[in-house]
Formats: sequence, structure tokens, C-alpha cells
Amino acid sequence: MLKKTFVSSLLSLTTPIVLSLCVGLLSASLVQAQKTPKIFTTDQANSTAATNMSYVNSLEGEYKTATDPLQKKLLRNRLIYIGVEQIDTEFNAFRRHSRKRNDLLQFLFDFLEIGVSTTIGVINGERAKTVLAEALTGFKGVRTSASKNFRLMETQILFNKMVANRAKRLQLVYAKLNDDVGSYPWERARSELKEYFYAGTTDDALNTLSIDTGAEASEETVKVERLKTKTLAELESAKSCDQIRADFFAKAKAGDAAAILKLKAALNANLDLTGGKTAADINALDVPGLEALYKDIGRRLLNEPAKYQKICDALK
Amino acid sequence: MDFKIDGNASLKDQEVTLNHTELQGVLKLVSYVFDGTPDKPHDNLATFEDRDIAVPIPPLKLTESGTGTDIWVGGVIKKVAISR
Repeated sequence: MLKKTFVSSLLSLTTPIVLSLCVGLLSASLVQAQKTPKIFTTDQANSTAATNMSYVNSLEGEYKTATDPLQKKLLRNRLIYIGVEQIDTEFNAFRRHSRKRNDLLQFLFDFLEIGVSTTIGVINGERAKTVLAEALTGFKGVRTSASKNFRLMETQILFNKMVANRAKRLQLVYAKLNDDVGSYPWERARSELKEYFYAGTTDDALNTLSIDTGAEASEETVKVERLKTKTLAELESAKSCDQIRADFFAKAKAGDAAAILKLKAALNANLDLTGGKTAADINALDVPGLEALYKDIGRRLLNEPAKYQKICDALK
Repeated sequence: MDFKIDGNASLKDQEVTLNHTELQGVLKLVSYVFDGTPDKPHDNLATFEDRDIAVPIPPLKLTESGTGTDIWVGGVIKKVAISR
């Protein structure tokens, strides 16, 4: 009893410390990104940086008062380049923060799952284990729901789509840089720059992606087949089949031509089970190919043992 | 290669299913652990590896033991050891 109390106290004391340490280390490693070069961020009066709004406003003022079409076109293009730089800066910051948040969240989820699984292995008592295992199952459901509703697993897919959409919208703007200001004024260019900005948003990426939120992300994970419970009779048949099949393959691997023919004949007698193979395909197989096909059929028909038994019967 | 097995089944039934999978699928069990989901809370996850088709495999046996792994048996978590 005293030992149990001590262990519980130790666990409750060390768990928050370890958790805080891990979060701190993770956060520290995440913030070690490159610093932005000063040439991009200065707000000095004479700076032409995109972040210097005095400079940007002065350009807009010049554009309004300019009368020479060529001068106006140059000013429009400079404003376009500054707009693109500002939008790119915001997008990159958004992408960085999203990744950091997602990585931290996934780590915390994994940490909690591993912690509960480990605790189940350590503690005594069937009831306690059952309760914790049920809680772990519930937690996994919460994680799946969070991943689906906050699109956590789709982050990379969405960002890839955003990058593609941004490139398309920017191309539309850059294609008109040589147009005169009569047909492509700064006001129109600014409107198209707004479209370029929206292309870097989650909503726009979702609109252009033909996915059902969460469904494709979860489908991308490997589907694990569920095995039906087998009967003793099915097990006995599988034992007998395994022995017969092993005998034939031992002989085939030793070069016994008759054994190889028999293995092929059993497949040819059940072509419907071979997954689309023809008799010509079967006859052309070497011993490793035969082994691979027998394994493939056996695994595909794990929930249909009666069908696989036909191949075994053909070997007898 | 992974497969899910119903942890609401008895230990014997799960043993039969695992052995059948090894024999027909030409596989060898590597690990067997509890792995429920919200849809199927009492599922166990069996991981298999490939084996030589020309060499028969001895049957495996599941036994309740204090030193085994935790799996669902009859809807309850139990420690089960795997032996051959």
C-alpha cells in the first residue's frame, strides 16, 4: 500500500515536470528559424522596403499625380512588386506558425497516448487496466475528431494547394506588367493582388480542392483488414493445407519439375482465385513467382477460407 | 502486415484466428496488442511478417500470464503471453 502510494506520488510529481520540459524543448527548437535580413524590414525614411509605408504612400501619391503614361506604368509596377512582397511575407509567417502549432499539437497527442499505454503496462488490476484502455480509446476518438474538424492531417495538402493557387494568381498579374495603365491601372492590379492574397488562405485552398474534409486524409492512412473469427474446423483444414503446400514447395525449390507442375496445375484449376492471372501467366511463373502468388492468394482470402481450400484440394 | 481481431472473442477463438492466419497467409505473428478505435473499441492489432512457404510453422498458444502484453479478451483487458 505504502509502495503504491509512493509510486503514485512519484508519477504525479514527475509527469508535469517531464511534460513541461518536453514542451519547452520543443518550443525552443521550433523558434530557431532564420532571422529576416535587415534589408527587408527597415522603416528608415529613405528606405524602399515593402514595410516602409511612408515610402509606399508616397509612391501612390506619385502615381495619382503622374501624367506621363510610361512614368505611371513604372509606378504601378513598383506598387505591384511591393504588394507581392508584403503578401508573401504574411503567407510565409502564417505557414510557419501553422506548422509549429500542428507539430506541437501532434507531439502532445502522441505524448499522452504513449503515457496512457505505458501506464496500462505498469499498473496492476484488470479493472484499472480496462478503464484506462477504454479511456485511451475515447482519447483516440477525440484526436481523430480534432484532426478531422481542424484539418490537422491535411495541413501539407492544403499548403501545397495554396502554393499552387498563389502561383496561378501571380502569373495573371505578372502577365500584365507590360500593359499600359489605361487598360491595367493600379486599382485593377490591386484588386488582383487581393485575389493573390486570398489564394494563400485555407478557405480558398478548400474551395479548389475536391476533398471531403478529413475523409481523404483518413483514407490516406493504411486500411487494416479485420479478420473474422475462425472455427476449429477451418484451422484444421489450414494445418493440413499448410503441410501439403510446404511439401510441394520444398520439392519445387529443390528443382523437382513434377512438383512445380502440380503447383501450377492447382492454380490453373482455380484461375478465378488468382487475381486476374491467365493460364499463360501461371505457366510462365518461376518458383519464387509461384511462392509470391500462393502467398498473395492466401492473404487475400483470409476471410474466405472455403475458397482457398479449393486450391489446397487441387494439390492433393 | 497488420490485421485487426475482435477482442470481444474468447482467448481460444483469438488463438484459433491467429493460427489460421499464420497457416493460410504464410505469415508469422510478430506482435499482438490492444488497439481499439471509437468504431471498434475492443479490437486487437496483430502484426505479422513474411515466412518461408516451404517450412511449416508450429502453432502458437495464447495464455493469460502476468508477464504478457495487454490485449482485449472478452471485452476486458488481460495480460496474455504468446508461446509456441
